[in-house]
Amino acid sequence: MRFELAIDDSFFISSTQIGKIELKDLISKLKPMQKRRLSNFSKLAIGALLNLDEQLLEDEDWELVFASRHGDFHKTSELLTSLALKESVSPSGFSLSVHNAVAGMYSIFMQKKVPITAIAAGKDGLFAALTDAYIRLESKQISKVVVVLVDQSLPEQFAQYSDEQQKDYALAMVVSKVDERQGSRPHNLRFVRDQHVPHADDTAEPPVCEFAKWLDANQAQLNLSGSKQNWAIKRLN
Amino acid sequence: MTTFLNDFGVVCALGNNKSEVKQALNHPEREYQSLDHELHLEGEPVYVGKVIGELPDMSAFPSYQQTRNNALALMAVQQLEPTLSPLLAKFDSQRIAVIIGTTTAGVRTAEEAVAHYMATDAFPAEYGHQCQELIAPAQFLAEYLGADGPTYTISTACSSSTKVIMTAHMLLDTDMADVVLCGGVDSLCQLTVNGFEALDSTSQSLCEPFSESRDGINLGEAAAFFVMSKQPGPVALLGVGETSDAYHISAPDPSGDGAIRAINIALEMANRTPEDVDYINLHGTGTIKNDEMESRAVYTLFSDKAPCSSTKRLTGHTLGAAGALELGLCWLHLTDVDTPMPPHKMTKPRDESLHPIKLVQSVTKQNSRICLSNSFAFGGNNISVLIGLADAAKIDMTSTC
Repeated sequence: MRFELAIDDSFFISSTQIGKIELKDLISKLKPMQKRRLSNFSKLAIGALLNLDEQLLEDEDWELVFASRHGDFHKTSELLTSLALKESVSPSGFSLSVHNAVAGMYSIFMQKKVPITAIAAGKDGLFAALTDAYIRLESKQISKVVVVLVDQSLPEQFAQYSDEQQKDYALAMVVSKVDERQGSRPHNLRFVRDQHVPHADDTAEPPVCEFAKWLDANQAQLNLSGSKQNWAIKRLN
Repeated sequence: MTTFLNDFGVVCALGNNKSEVKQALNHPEREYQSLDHELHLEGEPVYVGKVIGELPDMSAFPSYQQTRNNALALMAVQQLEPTLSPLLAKFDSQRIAVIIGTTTAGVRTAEEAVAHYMATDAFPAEYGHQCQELIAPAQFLAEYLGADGPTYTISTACSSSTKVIMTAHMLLDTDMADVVLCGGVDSLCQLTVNGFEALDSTSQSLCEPFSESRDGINLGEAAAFFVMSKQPGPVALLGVGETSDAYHISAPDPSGDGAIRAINIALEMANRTPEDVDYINLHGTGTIKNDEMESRAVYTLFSDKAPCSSTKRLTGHTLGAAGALELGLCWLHLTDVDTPMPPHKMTKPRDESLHPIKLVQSVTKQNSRICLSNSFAFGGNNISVLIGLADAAKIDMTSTC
């Protein structure tokens, strides 16, 4: 399996920067009413999207692909605790725990009536989201797909089930078809999946974080492993 | 490129396989939902569309995979094996994709585990957090089938397993896969029963879509899967429209604009007009706002000409499984002359203030060629899917050449 994608813009924030960058600064474009009650998960996802180049998103010939392994699991975990204690469920907490809630909120806040999908794929979320972006660009002949990948460390009581480095991060990207005629783009990339099955590594960095750092580095190739898939990513320019 | 829905497997409150579900569609006078006494936090009995039937033995699977959600999924997928087996033998495993819609995954198991944790400060030994990850059913089914192609979950609330149909089509259309197992599975749990109650969306009794006394949804559970491929099959995918309202997180745009755009995009992709649609399966949740919006949208495009129904009274609202389940009811009707249009069950007077769409309230058999199924989800996430008998797709291709 292979495909090519151009990445026209990207914004990445991870645990190492959170603290230096205030999450509230990422969402400074939102109205005070909109900022209220946003969880840290929502701030990460919406904050990353708001820091993409606005000019690229002015037309609405694009779609949004949201991907997260655990979603807003801190919210879900609170709801599970409420249920265990037989306490009533918070309506806004329940709303926020829905996987596509944050993508829906972004569309409402920014008045973007673009089609939205919300994906989960375990450790393979990066590959699933980019596959979904690629098939949308090719099959639906749209000009761009905005991809946002976001996750947080598991809540403390679930930490024992961790099978990768626990980090808070969000990566937002504007993705389009590779077209050499359009001149130089920040990144023209080829993704090739190999036949091998990855070795389980419970301490590996999440593929999204490795990929985001590589985008800004100078190496020609990146090899990434999820739970079921190995991919080689090469620069075309 | 035309893609096909080669086969359908199903388990829901209506029955444990296609023939039981077909039989139930002929008998809407019966009630298929049941009273549950365990899920509501204050112990109130609530109507749910629960699967009644023996679930498959899961003991051969890892403990974290032994959830009710996976058992329901397995029950539906096992029905597809006559169609799937030759395809699995024919194609490379990396060309077999598994794309699943779910909102609950195994969260019922997690609810019990967290209660155990609160009581004892430890999770049960057999519990694994992976059971409630949204990828869980897709990973389980991919491992069960030996499929190694793109494997992911789509979770956009009540449109989840309608969205997977489009993703399956695009994977086939771009030659990323030869076969896609796609559909949805959701299982009853405290989180959704009490969560929707907190949002004031649940009915006090059995739901009554489009009636004047409608007061919300009943939760349900189901597994509903299709085998999709480029190999000609009985039913073809004709068109899909995906849109967003950008209006409100838990209420639809009352103008119906997002729904109308979704239906229009599906019709355009299929090169069809509203007159070509023989039956519409409505989202029809039975909430005040959905039914107002949807009757307006459907009437705007189809007037009172297209027969339509909501099947939520029969099955309950199966959330992440609802889209594939309802498209499957269309599939059963298209492929079998003895299966009626899924009937619209409503025991209270119709809401005359709504636009007068043509609700099919009796058991009506007809030779339909093209059906539309709507899903309008939380977050303003809309999708409309048009499917038709395979020869409807052929005519479509020649007319566009």
